[in-house]
Amino acid sequence: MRSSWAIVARLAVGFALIACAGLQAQQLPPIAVDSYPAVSRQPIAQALAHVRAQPDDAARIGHLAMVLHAWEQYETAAGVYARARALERRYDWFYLGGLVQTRLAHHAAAARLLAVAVRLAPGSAPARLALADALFESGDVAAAAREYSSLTTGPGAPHAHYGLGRSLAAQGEKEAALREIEAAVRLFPEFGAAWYAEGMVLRGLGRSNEARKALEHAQQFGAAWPSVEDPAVARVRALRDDAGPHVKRGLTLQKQGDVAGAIAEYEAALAVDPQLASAHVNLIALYGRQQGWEKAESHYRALEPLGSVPAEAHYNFGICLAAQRKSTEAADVFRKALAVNPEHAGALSSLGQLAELEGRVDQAEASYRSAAAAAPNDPQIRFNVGRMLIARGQFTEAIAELDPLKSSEHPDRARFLFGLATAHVLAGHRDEGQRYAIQARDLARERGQGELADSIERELATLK
Amino acid sequence: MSARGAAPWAVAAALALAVVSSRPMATSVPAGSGGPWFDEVAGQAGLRFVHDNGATGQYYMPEMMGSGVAVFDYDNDGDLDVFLVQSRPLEPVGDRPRAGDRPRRGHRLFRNDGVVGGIPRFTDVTDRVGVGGETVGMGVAVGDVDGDGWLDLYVTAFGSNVLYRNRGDGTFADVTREAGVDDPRWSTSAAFLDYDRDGDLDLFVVNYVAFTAAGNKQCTDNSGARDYCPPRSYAPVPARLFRNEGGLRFTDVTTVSGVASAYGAGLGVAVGDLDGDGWLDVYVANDAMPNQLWINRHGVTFENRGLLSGTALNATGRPEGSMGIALGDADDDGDEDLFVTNIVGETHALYLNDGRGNFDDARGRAGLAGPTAGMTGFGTNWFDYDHDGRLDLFLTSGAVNILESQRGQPMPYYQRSQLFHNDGRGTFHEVSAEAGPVFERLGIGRGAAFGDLDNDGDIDIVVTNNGGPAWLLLNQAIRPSAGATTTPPDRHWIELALRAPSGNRFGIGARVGVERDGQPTIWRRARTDGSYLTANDARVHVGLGAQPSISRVVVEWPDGQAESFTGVTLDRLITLTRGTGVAAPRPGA
Repeated sequence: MRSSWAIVARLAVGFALIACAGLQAQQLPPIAVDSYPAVSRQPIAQALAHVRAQPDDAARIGHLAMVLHAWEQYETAAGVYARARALERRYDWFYLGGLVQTRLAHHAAAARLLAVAVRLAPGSAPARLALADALFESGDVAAAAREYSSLTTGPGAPHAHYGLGRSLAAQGEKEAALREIEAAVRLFPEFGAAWYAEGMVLRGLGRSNEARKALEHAQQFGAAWPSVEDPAVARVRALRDDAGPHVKRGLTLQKQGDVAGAIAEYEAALAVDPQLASAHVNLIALYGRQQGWEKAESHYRALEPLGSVPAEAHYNFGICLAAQRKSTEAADVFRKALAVNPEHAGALSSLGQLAELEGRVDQAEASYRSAAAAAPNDPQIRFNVGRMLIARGQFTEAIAELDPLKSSEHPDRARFLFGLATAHVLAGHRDEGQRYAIQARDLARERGQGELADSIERELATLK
Repeated sequence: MSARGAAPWAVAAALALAVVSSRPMATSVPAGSGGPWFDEVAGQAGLRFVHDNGATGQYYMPEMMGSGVAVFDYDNDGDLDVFLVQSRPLEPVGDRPRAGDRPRRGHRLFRNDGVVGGIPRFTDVTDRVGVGGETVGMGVAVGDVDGDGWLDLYVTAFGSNVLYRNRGDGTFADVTREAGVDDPRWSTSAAFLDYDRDGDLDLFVVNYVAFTAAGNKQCTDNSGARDYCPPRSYAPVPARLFRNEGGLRFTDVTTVSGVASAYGAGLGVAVGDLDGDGWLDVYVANDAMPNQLWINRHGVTFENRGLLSGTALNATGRPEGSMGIALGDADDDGDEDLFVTNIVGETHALYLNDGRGNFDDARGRAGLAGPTAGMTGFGTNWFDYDHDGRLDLFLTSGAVNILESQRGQPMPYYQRSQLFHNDGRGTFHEVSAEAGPVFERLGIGRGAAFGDLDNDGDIDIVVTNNGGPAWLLLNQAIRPSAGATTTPPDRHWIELALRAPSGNRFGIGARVGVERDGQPTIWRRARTDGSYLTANDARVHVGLGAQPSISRVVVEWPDGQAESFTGVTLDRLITLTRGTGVAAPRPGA
């Protein structure tokens, strides 16, 4: 009898604890505004004040969560979204709360929230993609595959094909996985992650050469990712008006090749913070690509009052000057870059190019060699050293320099192979030279480098 | 070393088939028998060390990265001593106010004087031993570079590195210059390996970035607060490979070996035969840049197969901020798998090997992504803390950039260590909460060195904290039981010390197979590398669970020869001496 009472008492305590835990989950987490980054305190404090005025208003609480989310205070944001959900079953609180949980790598928790978000807004492609991703990352690959499968048409199709491919690969269905991932890169050819996944699947199928090519594409496109319009996330982003998000978006657009878009973002960042050196540095390069020389120079000059001018700024401006054929001024600016960073491979290489243009082969070679020492990983610089050696008639040395590049994963590999072929032919190794030239021609054709392929073809004809 | 330490080392004549020496160990009971699995006992053990990160408010990058630790038997007395790498400010400063214990200058060597009351006792012998260099110290590697039977130390630094030769008389000599192994750049982790199979230990040194105090950049975090710069702010620096020519002379073969052809901001290094061809390969963890997998081309050159192997990037093809490395057979299929610690927000990587050097990123399905997402991991290793025959995982963490939850504090970089249990079905479960209060303790974890410091048959851990004290985590998961006379029937184990008559005398790099009747062979490697800035004990520890005996032990020596040893008794430390076993074919040979 006594033991039954003990069990009942224990159960009662247990239920009480569970009830308390549930209540706690619905409370607003502690928010010490002073502990946040200075630039974020005012918007956080303002949103918090609104909440304190009406502590049970879900809209106000959700807004506070979004402000915290915008300022990347994810842990607190997660708690505040939870409070908003407890008061109101609204898509935004589940969806954005799920995204925050994903950001914290709590994928199972994210999947639970996103599943509710999808039930509340079944037509939301971003929510369904996020749910599929969360399911995949939390290990429920079969459920992820089902979700991705239902999304292979519509705005999120590249992402869905990619996710489905990864899910199938994880389930050992490599051929089917390959088909899906190929569909992803057909729809969005700059999809770096999908190219990487394709490389891994091809490797698993024993198709190493094709895998290498896919991995080359992955390297070429890097982090480029197909975007899907997401109004809820846009509302979060809009809450942050400091320079940081503009710079982030500028970097993304720059990587995607959207010069005008990147310029707009960096200029917006400078409107908030005119002393943002990284924005100035990138704008020099971007205006240079548009041949907006005056604007490029104005951003270069804007760095001078800030104290120290980064080597990259000198380098970018030097490129602008070189493009305007102002060789002497460009050389001076490249030397300024080297004064800041003596191992700036780009500046060293550019000085080599300027010397080469002026026919100073010795100096060009020396600069290229210094650049190669500073960046031994850079095949383009090594190629330049090889070219100089060919120009100086040092064919054996040129072969030694160029030979390691023949297995490079660089997009310019066809050019490297042709350089190696040239060195061999001039060294008297006609057969070897011909072999490499044919490889170079075929590779150039395969990669759509028609002009290069044609010129190699012409050189091959002379060998015959 | 001391007579006290030598006393329990009774030689069991009955085991003298292939076994030179062995000793019985303390009896124990299974994990969960009461009390924490790991006790932090550095203070009681006399392992009093406080790291000086040299911080002056200038946010110099080297301040946040160190320092390492080695556990090794410098005096050949049978117990593990501890070497802790110290740092200092980059430039001279006056007295700086510090809270708590005041760091002592220079690296420190603590001699293990044996176990008293269940705790190993250490004495700081640095001043008489001669290893107390005052550098901006980073990491340490351990190996017998001159084949004299005494373990030597290679200490890396921001600035010149130092090779300390163990004279065998209780002192060390700085032989860096004559050996030709200095690297004046910012070196981090280093590893000894016999890559060319000539019988002696070569040296692989990982370098980080071309930072200089004069060129220190002013970086800020997302909110605009001053913070340490990310690695991409500076140019990365290639690693360096030194070939041992004998006679304590090394040749720099970095370029001819191909190791200079690819590099990133290197932090971690581990050595193993990752493609299963019998030659030792090298894996380098780079910070925010692709990692390298250097495949050994028959002792002449190395080819970077990182990208195609699937270990250079994460599953979405992006580089991660990689720091520490654990290399071992995590899935019991006979090859070596990689665990790589990354920066907060990324999750740590588990790359499972197919035996041919093709890896699959399995962090998600293994349960390692979620629990590590909030951590900036550094020192780590596989080890079987509970003797169930499977490799578990420890990692220590500490941020390098301001943590959201600690903003406004003087050092907002504190994190906790973690312990993961391998369930044998491909999943790892975090058991930090059960493992003891030390796993709730916050530090800025960096190095973690693994070895049986109290010689009780399980693996203990020494953890270093940036700007804080070193911790000694004594493994009590198999806690001694009063009155027990035998090892619990489901917690058998064995520790194997390898010895060779010359050259690589401690068999560093050898692959060891423990063959069991009716069960798959357990494969481990004798290694001191791995983790972060750290050198581990080279002895091989194997948990055997309920296995009452083993049929034999196979040793694949680094030079390609294999040998088998029989008559090996469990629950003790066994020394396997090369040439006393039976020649055995290598698998696939």
